[in-house]
Amino acid sequence: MMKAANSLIESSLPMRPPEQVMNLKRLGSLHQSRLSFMRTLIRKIMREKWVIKPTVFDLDKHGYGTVVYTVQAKHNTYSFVLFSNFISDEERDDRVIAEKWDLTMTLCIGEVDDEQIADMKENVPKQEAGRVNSNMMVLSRGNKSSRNFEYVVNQLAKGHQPLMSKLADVGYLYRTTAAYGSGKFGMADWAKVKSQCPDFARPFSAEMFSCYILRQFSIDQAENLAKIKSPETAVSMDDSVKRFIGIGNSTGLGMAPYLIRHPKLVSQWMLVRETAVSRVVNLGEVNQATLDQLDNIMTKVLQHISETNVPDVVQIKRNESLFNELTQVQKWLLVDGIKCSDWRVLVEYAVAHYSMETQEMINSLLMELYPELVDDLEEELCVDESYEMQPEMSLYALKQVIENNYGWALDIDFSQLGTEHFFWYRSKEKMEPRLGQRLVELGEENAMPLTIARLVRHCYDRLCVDIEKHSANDSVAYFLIRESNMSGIVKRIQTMSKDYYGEIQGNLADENMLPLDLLRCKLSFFGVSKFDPKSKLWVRNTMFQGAPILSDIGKPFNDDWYFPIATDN
Amino acid sequence: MKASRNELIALFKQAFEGVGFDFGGYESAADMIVWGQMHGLDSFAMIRKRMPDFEQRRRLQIEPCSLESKENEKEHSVIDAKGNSCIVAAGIALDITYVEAMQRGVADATVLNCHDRKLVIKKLADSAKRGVVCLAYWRDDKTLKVVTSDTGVCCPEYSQYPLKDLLGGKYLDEKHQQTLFVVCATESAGLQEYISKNLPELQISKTVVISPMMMKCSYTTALTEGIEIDNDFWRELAVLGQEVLVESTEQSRMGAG
Repeated sequence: MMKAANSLIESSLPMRPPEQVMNLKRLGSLHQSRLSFMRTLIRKIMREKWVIKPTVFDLDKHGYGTVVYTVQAKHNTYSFVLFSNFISDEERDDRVIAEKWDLTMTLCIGEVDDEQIADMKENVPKQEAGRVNSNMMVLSRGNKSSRNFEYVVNQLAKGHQPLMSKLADVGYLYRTTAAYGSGKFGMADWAKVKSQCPDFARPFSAEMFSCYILRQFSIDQAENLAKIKSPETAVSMDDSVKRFIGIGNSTGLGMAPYLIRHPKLVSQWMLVRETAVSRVVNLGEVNQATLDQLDNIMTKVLQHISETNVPDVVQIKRNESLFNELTQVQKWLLVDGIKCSDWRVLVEYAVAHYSMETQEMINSLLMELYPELVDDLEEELCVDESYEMQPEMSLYALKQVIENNYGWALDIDFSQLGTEHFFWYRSKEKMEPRLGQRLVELGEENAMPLTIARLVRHCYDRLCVDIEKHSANDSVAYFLIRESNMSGIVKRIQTMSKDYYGEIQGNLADENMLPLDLLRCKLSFFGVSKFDPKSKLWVRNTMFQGAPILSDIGKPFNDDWYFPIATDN
Repeated sequence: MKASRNELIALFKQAFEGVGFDFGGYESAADMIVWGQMHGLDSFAMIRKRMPDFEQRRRLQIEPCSLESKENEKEHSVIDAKGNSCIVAAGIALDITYVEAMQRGVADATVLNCHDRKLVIKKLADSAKRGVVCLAYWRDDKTLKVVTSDTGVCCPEYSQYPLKDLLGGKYLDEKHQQTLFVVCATESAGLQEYISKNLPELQISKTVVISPMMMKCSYTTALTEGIEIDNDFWRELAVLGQEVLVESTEQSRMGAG
């Protein structure tokens, strides 16, 4: 069905249809790209030459204390304030319900004085249990990767560099376990950040930046401890090693409800990504130079995949499959690439022969060949998320909208066993989002309205009954007086009918639904690498591995830090 | 304490869900209240008094509101809010008047037995975004409150008139002590005609309580500095929101990521 116009839709370029793009399994196969938030942030920092310096570095001999990085961005000054505290190994927990962390931190607007730091010291380490203020944009925390951290400190103290091969396995010294923004715990609302802090006026930009500076701190702290430990022999870390250190991340179910509650944003992100794919596939010239460039990129990606060592059996198989298929694609390109009139030939070949994961990897890699066709789209990632009821819409039109846009939901037979297996809820324990099994657990009456397919089906059924009783020409306003509990889903259906990509197409209550697909989708937009699932409900991954370090700012920048690989040292 | 817009909306949503509002209803209620507070309408104080009533209505399963008008009276709808808050009835009233105005040029609705009527202002602001001009008015013991919204103006204007200066009109009737009147028109001329016919006194001088610019300034300050909320009220809302949380068990911990 033709959707309402969006300024991004370039009518001359064919776009993949929503039923293909918004398929949950495909969303769970996405990889980072030039438009991922980490990539766009680093480009911005490098292009605008931000000046970032530690202005307070007050750590004791164990590495505990307070650190402030002052950030001079293009428009404003910001402060990244970090508290490093002792916790025992037993207390270290990546789950949301944890109450202590090795590091807690905040990103705030402007410079901070001692009084403000003292106030932060009272609240920031408490995280969810504390209160912060509207000058703060991000509240975050991190836990040490103890073995890796000790290894790196010991190596530096002895005068040696950490081995890159060892860092390839676990490429970070700390893991973030949450990065809160958007007004949580008294912080600045997104509307304030967007209107008053143009340096961070893109989705999750401030959160990503906090993780980036945390990564810098992890390096600075390790070097500092090595010098304290052995002043005679300690050495600084080589820049190449520093760049290969990322920041770990643990992401759990909390990210899944976010995607369902922000369908306009997700639709816009997909529209931006798909516009880029369409541009490069249809407009990018295939010649020997671009083929060679793609071949080089693929070689690097293959090495990156081979260096990704995770214990999860399913992920190992996925990585192996991706590796094998990409190898075949690379060979195919060497023989037939030059015969391609355009990249559509490659994309169609991949669709016919390979997995969704390989197809989407190819799309991501093709974007790397044409920054001039892609990078301007990074300005389009924001969207007005207001939801507007259209009370004047006739019931006939509403029925048509549902049939046209939610056919995927109406196709689900909810009388079949397993289609209503799960329910999503908030636990009394820190209001943590959890997934329950309907027939096993109590609490279904408090389910969150995230199973959109089921809600749409119910609305459609009520609508059909109402039309029989009244008239298809009656308006939605009157339907909602008769069926007041439908207002939420009707507003959503009407609003999303204006968006090109619309809803994530999947039954989130189905027994075969994988929450990891939702997490993976959002994490690909963040730009993480090295997915390391720890269950069906949470995943570890690596952020900013390969990215420029602070001392690189102001130097030439090739923006080629994606899919980092270990080099011998 | 000060809180952000985002967390207050989340808090109110959960509290209203806790007192039995439906998906859609609790979102709309939370939006109206936080919008009102940010725009200087003191909606927190108003709704704090109303919260016990919401709980009681849920216990007694009282219907939220009903449409009283007949099929052939659609340009003059009558809605009985049944003693409910404006956060429940205002959206319905504005939606219906909008629908009818789109067909007829002008339409009005009378909302009987309605409380917290000042909160209708958010819905008038929403209606202006739909491209129509709107009016809402209601009386208390001493004054007639009037809100107007127009397309292209950042916020509605909220003004009042002493009842003693007003000559007549159905709103003066004692039975309308708790009535809210709303009017929607596709053109300013249509609304002016309605005012001349039904509220001729509005042509005389008025006292502006909150101008559109004052509302906008109030919003900007709230966004920049945070929104003040009484600590106890915050806790009361959090307790109501507990109703929608599920007890944590060993089994449920297995469903956590």
